[in-house]
Amino acid sequence: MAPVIVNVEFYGVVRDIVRDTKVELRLDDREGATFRKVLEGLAERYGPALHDRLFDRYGPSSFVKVFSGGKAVTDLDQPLPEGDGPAIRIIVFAAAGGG
Amino acid sequence: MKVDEIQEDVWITTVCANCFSFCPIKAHRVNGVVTKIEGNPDDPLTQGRICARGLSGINILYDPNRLDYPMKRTNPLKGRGVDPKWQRISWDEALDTISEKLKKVRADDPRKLVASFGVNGGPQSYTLEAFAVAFGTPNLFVGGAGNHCASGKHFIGGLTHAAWVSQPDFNYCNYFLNFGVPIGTGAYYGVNTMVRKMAEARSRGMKHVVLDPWMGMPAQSADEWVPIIPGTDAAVALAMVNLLLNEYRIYDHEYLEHETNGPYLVDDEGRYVRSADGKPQMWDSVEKKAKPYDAAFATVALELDEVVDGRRLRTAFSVIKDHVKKYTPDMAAEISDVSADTIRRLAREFGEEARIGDTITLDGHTLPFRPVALAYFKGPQAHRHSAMTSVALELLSAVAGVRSTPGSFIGINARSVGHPETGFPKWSPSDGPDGLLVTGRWVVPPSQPWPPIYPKKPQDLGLAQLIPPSHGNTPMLPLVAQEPEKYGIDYKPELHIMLNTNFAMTLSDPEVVEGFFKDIFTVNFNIFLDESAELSDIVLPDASYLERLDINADWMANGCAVDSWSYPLRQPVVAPVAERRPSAAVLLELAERVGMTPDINSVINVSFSFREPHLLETDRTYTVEELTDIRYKSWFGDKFDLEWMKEHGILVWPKKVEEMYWHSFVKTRIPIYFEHFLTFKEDLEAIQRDTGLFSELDLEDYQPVPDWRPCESHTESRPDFDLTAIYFRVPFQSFSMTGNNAFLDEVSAIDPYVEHVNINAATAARKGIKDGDWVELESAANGKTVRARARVTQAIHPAVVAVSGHGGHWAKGLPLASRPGKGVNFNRLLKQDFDHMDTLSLNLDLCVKVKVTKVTGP
Repeated sequence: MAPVIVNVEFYGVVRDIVRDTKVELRLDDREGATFRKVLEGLAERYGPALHDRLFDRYGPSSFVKVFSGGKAVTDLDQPLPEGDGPAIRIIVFAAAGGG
Repeated sequence: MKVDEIQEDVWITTVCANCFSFCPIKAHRVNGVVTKIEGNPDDPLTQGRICARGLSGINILYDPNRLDYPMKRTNPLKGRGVDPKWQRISWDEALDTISEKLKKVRADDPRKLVASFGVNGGPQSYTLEAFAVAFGTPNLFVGGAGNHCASGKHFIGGLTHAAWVSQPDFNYCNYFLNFGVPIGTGAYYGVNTMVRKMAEARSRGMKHVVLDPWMGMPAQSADEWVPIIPGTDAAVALAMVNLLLNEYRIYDHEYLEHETNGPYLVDDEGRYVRSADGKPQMWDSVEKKAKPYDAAFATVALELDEVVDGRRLRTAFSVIKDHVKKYTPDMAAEISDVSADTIRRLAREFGEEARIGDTITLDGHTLPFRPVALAYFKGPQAHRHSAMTSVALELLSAVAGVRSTPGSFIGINARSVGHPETGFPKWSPSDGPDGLLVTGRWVVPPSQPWPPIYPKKPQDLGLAQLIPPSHGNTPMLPLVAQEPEKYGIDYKPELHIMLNTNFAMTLSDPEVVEGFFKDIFTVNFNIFLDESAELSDIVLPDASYLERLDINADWMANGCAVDSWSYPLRQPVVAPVAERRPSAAVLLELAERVGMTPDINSVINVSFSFREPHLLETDRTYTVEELTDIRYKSWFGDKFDLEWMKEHGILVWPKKVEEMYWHSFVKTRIPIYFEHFLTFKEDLEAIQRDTGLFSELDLEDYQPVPDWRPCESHTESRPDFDLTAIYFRVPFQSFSMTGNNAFLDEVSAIDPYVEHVNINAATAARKGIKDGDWVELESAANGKTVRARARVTQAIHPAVVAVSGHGGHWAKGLPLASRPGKGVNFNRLLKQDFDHMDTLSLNLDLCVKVKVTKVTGP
């Protein structure tokens, strides 16, 4: 299994847990690397507090928006883009209200 | 002015901001001075109409009480009537102070930042929202929604209409059953458009029936006013559903079978009977078996109550049909004081006028024709059981199939297929998990109603994560912020940025709210020194709506569900004077000073729906002008950029049939049975168990079918507290925003009701109260009192007293509004705790029992 280093730009309501905007994440299996695996890898690295932001009990939270190549990723189970050091951007939003 | 003295005489198109309708207007500027405001006739919706609030905008622009310079508080004491001892400071000093505090908080724990903003701030509020998310705080609050938010309606409306709010289709509606909404009579969304369309429909013969405790805007222009006890609308609606389903047998079988989850099978636990792969199932009456909802069916059973293989199976519709049997007209009459005969008559009229089975052909499309609309908003659902009331009223609509069809109640802008030349903007409702409706566009993404967002132990001060259906979570902020540990929050907020909101006045019990301001450093963007500014630490002089460019001032401008798309540009009519600055520009500068430009640019790309090739780069600061240009190009295509908008003022095109009446073109089902509320309940019970917290959170309403339950006001037993107080809206004031407007103040003073406590003539006689007497209202909820003169009238239910919701200011910076006799602060009578808000939507309960006593003066 070849590993892959993913370059993650991380924004939004994670700053109290993830202090850096740019994070390098190593996934051990390049072949099986998906966007969901990136979220799981980040949750594993930063612990339950981040896991709680990224997932609810049924899967990835709807407050988490993932982008690759400037486009929103709608299927988190799709493989990461080809090449070394693929870059993705993750933004975690907050619940907002209105009148 | 003589003709030869006129060097400039221009009309500039822009957008009003004196309520959340955001009507297109144009302003007449002569020699640099705005002399008149009119409606913009190029707008096909308002057709140039304008209301008193819009006309009076000049008075806001030139109000001598406007805030002109940044100031800091020098008196550390805070409280009502305490002089802040303001000291003028430079913008540099203000922004240095604020950015240092922001940096410190962000390095420590970004959640300690609170951002609150008003609905009418609209576009600028979006900027603060993006700022807050980029900063890393979950604490975003729409303070303007304080006592007015229709949280229950927004949530349930999103699930059922694919839209934040809905409107009657006055083009075809023949019978308008209105539960107290001032649609077409001076408030609500799309004010000037809907007033026109209501008048046209009434001229055509549309019948308008209003259930409301107070003969306010809607009832006074109706064919029939049905006085009702506040907070009992659900009982009436469920009795009508019972009559239609079980006695008159008037219901839209076709709609319920094909377009709702009525045929879904449920078990004795109330859960869907799911297939092996987890899909809800329906019963095939020919094959005599259950199959996944998306399988091929010979005949779908809408009704079923059978034991199959030892297991009782019922359809959701059958469960509902049985469930509502207890709501007899007599029972509902006892609760609501609407007579059983009236309930029977209204149910029959509603069902028969729906013309179930009829069709209409529009633009080549043959659609169901249901010329009946049922509207509800603030009045019926601003109660302890807000969401359940909304579910009950939506059920009544569903039974008659009067949703998203010509003539019915239609979600505003649920579907957009784009401008004919560019194909943008584009969104559509779609089919989601369990075969149920997913909104195409939601005003506050990503908090969409479906698929559900499930409860979590909260880390936000509004408990939005605990109660995800809440879309107006400000009511909890003052309580949680003052005692975070009580709610399991492990930090205390330190810094607060306010923009265009005044929730020190607009939430319940201002004295409780005041405590929140005492412990937090508050930066307040404002145009006046209002009640919240008086409790702030730094005030920043904002530009008014006539002095600024806004990125998306059309965000609620399309307040009509039919006819046309209308996207007007808000642009400055005059430059800001003194040291006023638009808050959006200041926030972008603050983001740069704090070193979070990449963060805010990333968030703006998403929150403003920018798209390739116009996405913001992460590493440079953009101006409001640039962002506005990008927003127009992203949304409407390159042709319609900011320059085009400046030249034309407004972008309009006709709505298509498949946009207005979207449900006939999108295959999905709408819930009449809310199974996922059971999952919410399980999750919340688990959180209660795991944390030992929130035990006072009553979960009774987390059920799949609606019930009427009493508010606290209904269970008050002390005989002196015999009247229920409510507030009403008037067409010439907007909440706490407009009280200092001299023009509108004059109108209010002329109006016989708006500055008074309105009491029924028989009730007043019984209490020895005469017209013009001073009276005191004492709250049964919190013991607090307010005083005003009595207006004795027949226009109110005998068990109710009513005051206008805009009055009772006390800020020195609003001298006109704060004079004695300018109404009462209704919110002072309200208590803020879980017993006085809806535990499903966090909507405040706005009815309260009061003791009314004659007094000698103010």
